[in-house]
Amino acid sequence: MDRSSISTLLDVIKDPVTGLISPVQEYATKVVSCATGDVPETALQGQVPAALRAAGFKGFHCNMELAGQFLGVGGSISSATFKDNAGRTCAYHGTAAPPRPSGVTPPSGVPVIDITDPTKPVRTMFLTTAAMIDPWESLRANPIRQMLFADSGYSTTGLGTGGPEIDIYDLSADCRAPQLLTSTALTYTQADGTTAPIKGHEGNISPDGLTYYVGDLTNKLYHAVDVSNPTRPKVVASFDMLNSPIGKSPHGLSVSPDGTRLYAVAFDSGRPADLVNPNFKANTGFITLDVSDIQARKPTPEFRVVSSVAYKDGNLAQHTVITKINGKPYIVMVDEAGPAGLFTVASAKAACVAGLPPFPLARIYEMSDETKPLLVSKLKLETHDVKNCDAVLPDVADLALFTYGSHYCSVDDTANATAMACSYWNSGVRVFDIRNPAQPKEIAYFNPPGTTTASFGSSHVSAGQWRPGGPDWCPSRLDFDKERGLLTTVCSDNGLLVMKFKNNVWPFKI
Amino acid sequence: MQHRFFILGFFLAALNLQAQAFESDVHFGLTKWLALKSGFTEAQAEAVATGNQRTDAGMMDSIELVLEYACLEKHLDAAKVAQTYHFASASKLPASPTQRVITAGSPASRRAVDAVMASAGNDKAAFMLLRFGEGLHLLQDSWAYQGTPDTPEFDDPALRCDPTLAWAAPAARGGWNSHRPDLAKAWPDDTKAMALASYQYLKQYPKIAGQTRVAAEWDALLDPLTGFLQATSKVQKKHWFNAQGIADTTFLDGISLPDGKGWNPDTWSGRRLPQLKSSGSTQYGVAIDARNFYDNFFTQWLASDSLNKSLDGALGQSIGLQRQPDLRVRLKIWRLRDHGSVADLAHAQASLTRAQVQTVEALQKNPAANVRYANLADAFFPLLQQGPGVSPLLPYVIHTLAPSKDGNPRAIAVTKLRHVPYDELGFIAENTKGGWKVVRLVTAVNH
Repeated sequence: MDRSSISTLLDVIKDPVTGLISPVQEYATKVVSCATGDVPETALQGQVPAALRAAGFKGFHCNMELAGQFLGVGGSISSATFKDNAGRTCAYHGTAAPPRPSGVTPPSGVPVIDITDPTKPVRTMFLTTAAMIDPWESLRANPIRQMLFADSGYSTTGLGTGGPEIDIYDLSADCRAPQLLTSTALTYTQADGTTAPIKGHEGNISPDGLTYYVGDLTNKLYHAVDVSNPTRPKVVASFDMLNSPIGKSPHGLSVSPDGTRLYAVAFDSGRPADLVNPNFKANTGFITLDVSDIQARKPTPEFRVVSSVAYKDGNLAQHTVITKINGKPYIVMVDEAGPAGLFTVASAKAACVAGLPPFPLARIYEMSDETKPLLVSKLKLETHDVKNCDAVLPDVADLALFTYGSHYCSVDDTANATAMACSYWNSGVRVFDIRNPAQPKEIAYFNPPGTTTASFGSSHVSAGQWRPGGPDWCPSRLDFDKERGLLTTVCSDNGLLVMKFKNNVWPFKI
Repeated sequence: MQHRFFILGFFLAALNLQAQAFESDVHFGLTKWLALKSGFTEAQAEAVATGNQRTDAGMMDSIELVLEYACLEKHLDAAKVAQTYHFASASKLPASPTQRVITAGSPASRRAVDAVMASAGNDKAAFMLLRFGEGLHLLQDSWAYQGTPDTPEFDDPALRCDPTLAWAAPAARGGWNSHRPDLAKAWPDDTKAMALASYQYLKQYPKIAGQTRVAAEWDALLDPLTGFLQATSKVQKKHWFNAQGIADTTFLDGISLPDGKGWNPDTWSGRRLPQLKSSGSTQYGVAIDARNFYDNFFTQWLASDSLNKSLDGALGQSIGLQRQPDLRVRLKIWRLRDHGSVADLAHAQASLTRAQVQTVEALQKNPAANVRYANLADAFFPLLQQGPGVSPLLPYVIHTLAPSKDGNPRAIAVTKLRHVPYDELGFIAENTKGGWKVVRLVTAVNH
């Protein structure tokens, strides 16, 4: 199937055989039946209506239920899981800055939670080194190296502006007791030859565990950090986003299985004025970078731009996931802001007026020809529908960030994905059947209840967006556990959530 | 035939008492035992011991070869890393050996462990155990390396080692080319003092999750410690650890003691090294023909099931014997899995005697004597080219040497092999009319 994206308002697919043109599927097909005992959504897909917020939101779930929860501290915006050689599974999640004073319990940092028995999660310790104080969106575990990686999202100069440290922990002996390998402040070489500190924010590790890439939003650079020697990480190359053919700000990324391609997002901050500017050029999307020099550790490695794709119906690109589906390569691309920029009621209304979705969403591109990424589907919910703007915007009228938007997606198996889970800040965790990536179908969701006391470490609280009884923020990475049929993530106020599927909706019986 | 090997083994064991080691039996095994006795849980003790043992080529940072940083090139940073992990001198590098004298248990030897103790007290004790073990390693090595650091010496102007950078055991304790400095039995008082100093730190380590640890009295450990000091083979060490309740003794594999009867080689899983994807080199900036030659050489030498046949065949064509007439025999020695049985021969500077050659030939007849790697890439510790730049993971590092007296281009490939984890090897090759040939093998004990 030859597909092409003709315009940002009407994305279409062209069948090369018949020549027929049909629209790209914009919405994930809504889940049709829930299991006994579920609490299905009562309004639009993804919506928590204002009345439910005011009364104290009790949660929705369909074909998923809680297997276990650990609400020791609130959560921030990244999490990871790891299974060790002894078969134990552990979860790690960020907590939001600012840090608590030394000696206060619980301390600031990343809690380590044993979820080997998902019904009885046990917190074993906190990781409290510099980057772990608030790893922002950078916390990742690598099964090959059996290590946990993070850069520092904490800085006294502003949320997410980041510090220079990279922290690496060894998980190999016992995932319940990670052991510090390093907490190292890194510098990069600037164009004039001088060095400057990197600034953490986003980050991801290559599949072979030898290169950690930092999305340095503050300096507008991607850094490749050689972690072959994990006790002495070093920056080996940096990509200046001024060289990006689309947006000039970096954020999240993923790396191809062979380590030679970096799928790095790019954006420029959106503004309502852009939506009515006929000369506005799309800047949010992702760039494919050839990083084979870095993977091969050539003496003077360079990043090379292979291709880029940008669109106008989203902004503040968050991250990518490279995966195979039925043998073909795909990129899952997720945004953090709607087309008019970070959420405000005004920006959302501006998008609605322009006929664009008011909230950020996920989308899927086929990468069979890496020089021409082809949009195959979008994963809008009903909350994204312009027709529903008047129905949903009153729900979030007193909020100033994110609301019904997407933030992170994960697939169940990057070698052959069948399902994808995405976290939507106020719409909870939602799982899609992507065996046909052109027609994603929602199969389950779990939107946890609102809380009535503010949790320490909750980014929802620290960002001033928590409301008693209002829906939680579920913004973090998610991890499938195919063997046990589980999905793990962290929501800001509800803490660590381990969910199991019902109705045999996943894993799929092939 | 078995009887003959037994006698030969006995003969070698008697010859090689000096090849007993202050190696993973101490850094992992004894440390774990002391940690358990001081009240750490099994998992915590394992972590402390692992951190300690990884300091000997169990993590990338600890793989710094003296041949590389002090002899073939001069790398101050690498020499500083060796100092950080192993050589407890307070002096700043570069400095002459006499300015870098190491004193057992000195403040310099405690710098790493004291730093960990200071930072572990602040909510961090639970995840600093590897680092704690690492700190204990420097302390423990200060007994093995007390004195004036030695400098490797080779009778080749292209291999002049810089005494202001080189780190090696003092000559008075065995010097740069001997495993003797690491002997526990040869230095019983030092070993006991080292164990006591370690034990004191283990007892003082901050509480983990508020849990109080109950430590045994030091005096109660002295008797069992004597048994440890008397063990002269891997098997004897294994029995000692088993008797102390430590069942998994895979950490003993590779130490420089002879196997002893009944030893079953196994691989310790505690190293955290990235895997080499191939046994072939991807080193940049070296001649392709030299790289190809060494790739073939290592394949032929390390992958052959019949080394004798291999040496007569293709591998033999790759060897030039004019510089080191017993090179064939040395290649056989370094293929032997039980390095502890032949350490003296392996490290002999002088030409091997006829009797020594016969000993090696006899050993070679045992089909199980040679090490075999299912995947050749697993034969090598991964190396990184030293210096400020970036390097791929390499099975060996090639350096260009000054031409031979005959004007032939020369190179050396430096490597570190898994079955001899306490050694570094350099294979000097010349490009003659017949192509590249290995002409000499040089070795040094790796700290």
